[in-house]
Amino acid sequence: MRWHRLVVWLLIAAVLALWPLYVGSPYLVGVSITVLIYIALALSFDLVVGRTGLLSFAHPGFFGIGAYTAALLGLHLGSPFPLRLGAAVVTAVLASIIIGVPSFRLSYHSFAMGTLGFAFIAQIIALNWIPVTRGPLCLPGVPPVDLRMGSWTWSATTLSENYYVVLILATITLWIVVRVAHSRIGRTLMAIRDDETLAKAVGVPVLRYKMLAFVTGAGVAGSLGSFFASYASAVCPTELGIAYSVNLIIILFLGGRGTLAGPILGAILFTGLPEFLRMAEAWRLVVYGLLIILASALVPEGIITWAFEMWQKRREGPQLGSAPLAN
Amino acid sequence: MPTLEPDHDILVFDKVEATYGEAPILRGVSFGVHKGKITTLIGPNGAGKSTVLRAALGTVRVTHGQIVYRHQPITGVSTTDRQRKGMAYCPQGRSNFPRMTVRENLEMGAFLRSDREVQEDIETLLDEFPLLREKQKEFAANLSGGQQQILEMAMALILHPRILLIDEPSLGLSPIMVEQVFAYVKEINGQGVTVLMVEQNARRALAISDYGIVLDLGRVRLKDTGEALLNNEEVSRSYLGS
Amino acid sequence: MVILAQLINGLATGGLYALVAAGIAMIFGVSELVNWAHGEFLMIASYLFFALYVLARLPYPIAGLCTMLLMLAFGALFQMIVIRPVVHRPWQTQLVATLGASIFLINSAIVVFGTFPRRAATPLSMQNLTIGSLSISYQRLLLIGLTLFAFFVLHMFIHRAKLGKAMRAVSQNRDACVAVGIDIQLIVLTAFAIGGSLVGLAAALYAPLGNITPLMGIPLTFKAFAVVIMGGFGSVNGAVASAVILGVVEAFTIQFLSSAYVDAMSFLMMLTVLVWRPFGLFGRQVGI
Ligand SMILES: Nc1ncnc2c1ncn2[C@@H]1O[C@H](COP(=O)(O)OP(=O)(O)O)[C@@H](O)[C@H]1O
Ligand SMILES: [Mg+2]
Repeated sequence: MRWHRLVVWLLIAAVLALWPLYVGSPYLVGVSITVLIYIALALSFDLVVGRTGLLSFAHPGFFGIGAYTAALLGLHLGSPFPLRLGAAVVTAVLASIIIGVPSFRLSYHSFAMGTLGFAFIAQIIALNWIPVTRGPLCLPGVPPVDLRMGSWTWSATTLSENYYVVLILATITLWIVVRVAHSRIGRTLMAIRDDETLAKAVGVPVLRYKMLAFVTGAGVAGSLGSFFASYASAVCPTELGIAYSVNLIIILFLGGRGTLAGPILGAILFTGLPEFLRMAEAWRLVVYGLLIILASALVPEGIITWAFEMWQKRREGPQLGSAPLAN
Repeated sequence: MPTLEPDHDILVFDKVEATYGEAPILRGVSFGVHKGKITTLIGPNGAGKSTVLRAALGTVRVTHGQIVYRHQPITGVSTTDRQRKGMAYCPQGRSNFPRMTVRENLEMGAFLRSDREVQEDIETLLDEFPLLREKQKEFAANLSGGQQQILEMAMALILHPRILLIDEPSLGLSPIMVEQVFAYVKEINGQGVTVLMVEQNARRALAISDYGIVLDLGRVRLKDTGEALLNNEEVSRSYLGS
Repeated sequence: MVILAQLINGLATGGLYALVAAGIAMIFGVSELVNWAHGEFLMIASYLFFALYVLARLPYPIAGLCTMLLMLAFGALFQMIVIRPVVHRPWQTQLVATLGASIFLINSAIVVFGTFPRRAATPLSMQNLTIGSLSISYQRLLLIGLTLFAFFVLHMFIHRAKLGKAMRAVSQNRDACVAVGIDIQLIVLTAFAIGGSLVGLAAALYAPLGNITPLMGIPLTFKAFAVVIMGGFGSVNGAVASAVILGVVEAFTIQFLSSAYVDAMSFLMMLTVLVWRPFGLFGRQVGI
């Protein structure tokens, strides 16, 4: 049975690797890159939302902080991409600790609002700290993703090359999330989400585990930000905007929280749907709004979880675990 | 108002099964509550006693069997309609509004009434419960536990109920207050209100009850007069503690 | 004089925040649900007012009153359509439902009215009361006066009317409400309706002073929510007091610091309060 699975994975890998060649059109490769960024962001966001039950609005903030860090290093010091990525992760992690320590003292709605406040303030700083960020003029001319070994250098200049870079980053993200989910940490997080009082009672350091998920998610988001800065070759204060938080929340709630397939499906639907709904932005968002209202009423646990339950009911087999941890 | 009714069961449970989710909590409960009498439900924690009262009131899902109130099946009748038809309910634990005055709490007890005599009835009740009159301008939270229990009973009485469903009124009270609360239950019953009471304090409760029902694991184990249950050795051993 | 003028401006802005925040706090008090679309209520109300006053040319008081009444109905409908299906769901789902509603309302407004700003100036908003060097538009004075009156009426309603008392009851003990036969859904509906009409009043008073745009509600939701948190969740009085403080702080920030950071003020204040007093400025007195 194991080679069975291996074949499936190899097939998926082959399809993903050949995808840019297959679709050909630069436009669609661009869309694919966006989808992959959203998938990775959603997966890392789910570490917080799906596994601690807390709604953080700061996640895109970490993405943005990573993007600015990488852009500034690239622009002023000409640092190579691996260094920019590392620095982006470090600053995002530091920011998440600074934000997380006070925010985790708050509960539910206040946590959401507290993290939103930090994200908002980060954006306002980016808009107004002109000497460093150039404010609304953005930071243009960020160098592309590059690797240097002695005299050998390579840089991702074409769309396809960028596609492969983000594919690798998304795969690493998936790997991290799977590792966390299947580790003792992941199970502890689930236990906390399901019954925090009980977890506390049996001596689980609840706060530390939540912080761990929060900081890990932030680090991943920061690394994606460093890629984004190079890919877009510019960073703007809007990258820190709450619009991204809203998008991510929608992706998780449509797709399904606390699962692996949910965020992936959500991201594909969310970024892919516009390609089907070829209509003006405003109309499209009207439809989105309606879909979200309907989904929260009809499939509150997300499409994946709902589909999984349906499938289980049809099989009428014994009740397995509740949430599908795609493995 | 009260027409001549045969001295009969005012409330009948007929093979009632009830659940909060999947697992059945009541598993075919049948009994009747004699009109004008005090009936007490006893049994261990988690037996489903509170659930019986909730089923009567209609706040828990009844999956099988039926509940007959004043000779009419009440399946599908809403909770508020049951209350309008004379069922009053005092839930387990504190069920008043802590940051409203005693008088406002009584007004809330009359929420379902829209007639003009509410204020008069409140005056009558305050006469009946002098300790409440003394504290009528205080927040309910400032009353002692026993006083709050009495307030909650008064809130239920303002609907002029035919039957009072009361869940563990003596919970957490000092021995003196327990006596007083039971005395009030007896007095309320004396005014013609049927009482269906749940009590952990089984000995004291059975002593003032006409009938007792022993509930265990969602089933009725025994039904008898209060006195007979008190003298029943097996009941003493298993359910009365000592 | 500058200080007095800014104080009055701040009170007017604070009044706007208070009218929005009171609804959020009241709704939270009776349902433990945060309406993230509440700022969009104000946006919808402003367009309604624009349609009635500018397009349909109704006299100002009538246009204002109609806005309030229509928003009362809007709040009630919103509760029935968006909120009722998710009342028994966890809070995250409820939040997402109202977020979806907010996206829907914003973009519906873009589809109908476009993105360019509309204005609905009244004779009062174009004239200033001038005393010495102090100059204040009459509209702001009207705003402050009517907001005070509205809160007086609200206070009387909550403390005297049966339905108002029932709202307090629901915020204090839901189980006891079932025992005495208070229909919680009806009370939540009432809270949404009142929240809607307060926002309707806010729109009629404030729309003449600024631009009406589809996005105008977003910062208001955040600020109002920040004030609700500062005031101690669910406490209407706390929210109103914090709203007024925020309005005044913002006015002085613009005057003495810079207008660039004015929108960060609300969050800075909220975060400070949260770190310093996690249960809000006025302590843990939950309830309406
Ligand atoms: N709201 C509820 N949701 C789910 N289960 C409940 C609820 N209330 C009670 N139960 C369960 O129903 C059983 C009977 O409860 P209850 O009627 O309160 O017992 P008693 O009043 O006899 O102590 C218990 O096992 C309890 O766990
Ligand atoms: Mg009980």
